[in-house]
Amino acid sequence: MKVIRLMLICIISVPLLTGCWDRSEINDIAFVVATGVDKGAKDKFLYSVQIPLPSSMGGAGSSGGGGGTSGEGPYLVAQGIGGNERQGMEEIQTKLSRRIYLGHRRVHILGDSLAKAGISKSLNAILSQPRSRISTYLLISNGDAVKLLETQPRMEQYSGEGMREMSKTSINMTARNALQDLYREGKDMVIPIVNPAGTTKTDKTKKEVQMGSFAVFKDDKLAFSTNRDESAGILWLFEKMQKKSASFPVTKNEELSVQIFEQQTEPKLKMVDGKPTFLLTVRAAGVLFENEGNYRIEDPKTYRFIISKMENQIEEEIQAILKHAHSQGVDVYGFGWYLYKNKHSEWEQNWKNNWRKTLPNIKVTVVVDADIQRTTSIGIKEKE
Amino acid sequence: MKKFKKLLKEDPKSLPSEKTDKPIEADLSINIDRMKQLFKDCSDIVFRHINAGEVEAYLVFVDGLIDTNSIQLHGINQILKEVERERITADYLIERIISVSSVKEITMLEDAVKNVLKGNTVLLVDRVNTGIVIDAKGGQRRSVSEPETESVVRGPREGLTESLRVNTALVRQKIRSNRLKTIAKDVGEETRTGIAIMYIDGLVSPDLLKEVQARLDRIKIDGVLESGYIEELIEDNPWSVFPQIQNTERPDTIAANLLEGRVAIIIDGTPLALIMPATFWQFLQASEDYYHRYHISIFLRFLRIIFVFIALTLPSLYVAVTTFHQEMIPTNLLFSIASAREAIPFPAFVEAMIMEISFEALREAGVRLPKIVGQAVSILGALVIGQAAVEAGIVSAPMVIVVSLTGIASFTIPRFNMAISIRLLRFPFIVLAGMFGLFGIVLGILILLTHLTKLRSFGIPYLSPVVPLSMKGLKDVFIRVPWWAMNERPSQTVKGDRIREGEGLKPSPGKGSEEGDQS
Repeated sequence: MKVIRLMLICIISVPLLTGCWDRSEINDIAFVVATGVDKGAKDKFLYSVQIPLPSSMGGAGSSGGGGGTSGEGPYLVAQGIGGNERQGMEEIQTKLSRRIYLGHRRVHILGDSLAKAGISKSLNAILSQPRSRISTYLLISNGDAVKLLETQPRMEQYSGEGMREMSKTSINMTARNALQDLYREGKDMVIPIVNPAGTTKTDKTKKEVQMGSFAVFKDDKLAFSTNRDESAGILWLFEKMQKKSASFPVTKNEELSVQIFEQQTEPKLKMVDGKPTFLLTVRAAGVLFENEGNYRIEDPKTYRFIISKMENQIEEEIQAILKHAHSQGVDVYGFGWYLYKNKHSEWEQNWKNNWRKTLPNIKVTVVVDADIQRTTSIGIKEKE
Repeated sequence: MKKFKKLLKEDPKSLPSEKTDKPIEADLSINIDRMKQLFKDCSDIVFRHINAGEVEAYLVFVDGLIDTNSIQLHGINQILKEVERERITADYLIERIISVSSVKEITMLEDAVKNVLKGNTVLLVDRVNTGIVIDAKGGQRRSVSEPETESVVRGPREGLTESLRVNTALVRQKIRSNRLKTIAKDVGEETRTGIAIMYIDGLVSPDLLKEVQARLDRIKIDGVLESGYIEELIEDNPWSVFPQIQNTERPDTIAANLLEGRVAIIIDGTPLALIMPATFWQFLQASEDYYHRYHISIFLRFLRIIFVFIALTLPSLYVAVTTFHQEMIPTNLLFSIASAREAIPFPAFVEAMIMEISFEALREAGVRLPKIVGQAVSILGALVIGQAAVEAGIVSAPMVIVVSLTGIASFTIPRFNMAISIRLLRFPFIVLAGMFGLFGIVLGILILLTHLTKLRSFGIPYLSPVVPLSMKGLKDVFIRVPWWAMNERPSQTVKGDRIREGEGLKPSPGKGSEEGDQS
C-alpha cells in the first residue's frame, strides 16, 4: 500500500516538475527563413529577417476562422540594430508578436560592406546559437542585404527559398563549409554573390534574385569578386560543373555548348628545386547541346579540333581565377591545405607563415582532358 | 483499496449450492416428488406421465430444448406399445425399447437434474432404480453463417455458432483425425456452461494441456456467458492491456492453431473460441495470410507492422514534433502545417485529444447502433468532423489527416482485441508527447517494450520468436514463407513431432512430369 502511494506520488510529480514547460505552439513562433546582416554606423550592425506569413502561404483550412497574421506580401521583413546578432534579434523581437525561431533559416546574407570589414563574427554567431542550422547557405549581397530579403521572386513564395535553391546548384556554400574553409590553413572562402535583378532588360523593378559571380575572401575579408571567366573557373575548380553548360567559341562567330555530366579536378604536387608546383588535371565529359557551326563531330579531325578549343577555354577560365587570386595572395583552391595534408612537416617549417607571399610564385599547370561523349539531335544536316 | 482487494479474493462459500446427491429410488413417486421439489416454479420443465399398461413412467425434460419429434417417435410411442411389466429393467429399456441413438444410464438424482438442464430427456420408470438419459437435443439455434468479425476474401465462409456441438463438429470436419481430442467440461455453478478443450494429441505439449486444465478447474463462478469470462479468469497477467489469449470465430483458424500444437477452448453459447498460448505476432496475422499467395501475405504483414506503429504513435508524434521539435519538420511542410493551424484556437495536444476522443466515440456509436443507423452515423461523423470542423477553424486539416490515418491504421490490425488495446495505448502516448515531446514517446515505447518482453502467455514469451530470437520461427512472423518451405511446426509450442510436411515439395517442371508419366 505504502509502496503504491509512494510510486503514485513519484509518477505524478514527474510531469508536474519537469513536463511541457518548453512547449511552444506553431502559431506562437515566427519562422525566420532568411537573415541579412549589413554594416551600420560605427560598430553597429543592421540585422534583418525574412518571415513568411503563415496565413498568406495559401494552405488549405486557413480560410476559415479568421485571425492570424496577414499583410501585403506573403512574408514580412523586419530590421533591427545591434552590436551583435543576439542584440539585433532582440530589437527585431520587440517589433514582433511571435517568438523568433532560427531553426528554419535557409540562407544567411552578408552585405558587401560587412564582407569588406570581416565576417568571422557573423559566422561564429551561426555556429554558437542553438537552433541555428549550420547547413544554412551563405551568400554575399551586392549592395545591402535587406534589399535581397525584400525582393519577391515570382517563382517562389519568398526570396529565401529561391536563394536557397540557387545556392544548392551553385557551389553549395553552407555556413559549415565556410567555417571549415575559414579555419583551415592554406584555404580561403569563396561565397556566391547575389544581387537583385529584373527578369528582362527593361524590367526595372528588380524583384528577382540573380546569382552569377563569386566573392573571394582573404581570411574573413572580401578580396575581390569574380568576373565571368573567373566564375566559370571557380565552378571548374570546385567540381561543380555537373549539369551546367560550358560554351566556347570555335571560330569567330560560332560557338558550341556542351552540358557537362561528369567532371573531376585533381591536384598533383611536384617539387621543383624545393618549391612546390602543382599539376591540376581536369577531366570533363559532356553532351553536345548546341552546335552553331553544324560541325560533324563524328569526324575525328573535327572532333579533335573542337575538343582542343574546349580544353583551351576551360584552361583559360581556371588560370584566370587562379592568377587573379594568387596575385593577391588568396589561395582560392586550397593548395596550401593540400600541402598541409600531404607535406605537413615541410608546411609547418617552410610555408605556413609566408604562404600568402609565396603564393604568387607558385606555378600551377592546368591540364584539361575534355570529352564530348554524346550529342543531342543534330538538327539540320550540315552542308556538303 | 482494502475493500477492493476483498472483492478480488474469491470466496467459494458465497456460492449457494443445493445438495441433490441422492440415489434414484425404486419408487417412482419419491423420485418425482424430489425432482418436482427441485424444479419448483420452473414452468418450462415438463413432467410427462406415461401409463403403459401396468408400467408407470415419467419423462422429464425442458420444454424447447429437446427434439420433440424423436422423443415422441422413439421414446413415448415405443414404451406405450411394447412395455410388459415383468421385464422392466433399465437395460431392457435401453436395448430393446428406446430407439434413440444416444442413451445413457444414471443412478444419481443429481445427474438426472443436470441432464435435464443440459437439454436431454430423462426417463424415470417405476420400480427401476436407475434413470435413463435420452440424448435428443433440439431447440432453436442460429445456423452456421459467415463470421462477421473475421471476413475474408479467400477462405471458408463458415463461422462458429452458439451451439457447442455444432462448433466441435465444424472443427472435426476440418481435422478428421482420431488424434483430435475434445475434453468436455462444465463451468459455472448456475449456468453450467459446457466447454470443450480441443487439442491434437502428440502435437500439444502435455505441460500446456495440464496447465490449461488446471486453470480451468480453478474457475468457480456463478455464470459463464461468453468466452471473455474464461479469458479473464485464466490469462497470465490480468493487469496487462494486451490480450494473451486469441479468440476467433473461424473453424479454419482453430484447426490451423491446433495443428501448430495450441489448445482451443470452445464455449457453449458463444461463437467465439479461445486459442492459447498466443504471441503478439499472432494478433497481426489474418487467416487469409495463409490462403493468399505468399507474396501478397508478406506485403500485407509488413504493411500491418508499419501500421501498428502508426496506430500507436502517429498522433503523439504529430503533437511532439509540432509543439517541441519544429526544427524536425521540413520547412515547406512546416509552413503548410503552420498555415493550416493559423486559425486554430487550441494547442496541438488539445486538438489531438478532441479528435481522437470524438473518433473513438464515433466508432463506438457505429458499433452499438443497428447496422442501417450505424452507416448514417459514420457518414454524419465523417462530414461533421472531417469537413465542418476544419471549415469552422476548430480543428486543422493536418490533424484530421493524422487522426483518420491512425483510425485506418488501427483497422488494419486483424484481431479486434489487439486493435482496441493499441487504440487505448494511443492516449497515454499523446499525453506523454504533450508533456515531454519525443523524449516522452521514447520513454513510453521503452516501458511498453519492457512490459511486452516480460509478458507470457501460458509459459510462452509474448514476443517470441523475435524475443527470444529463433531464426526458424521467423519464417512465419514478419514474412510468411511459401507453404513448400514451411516444413516445421513452430518450436515454441510443438516439442515433439516437428515435421509438418515432406521434403522437396517445391514445385518445379521436372517434378511435375515425373508424376505425369506414371499416371
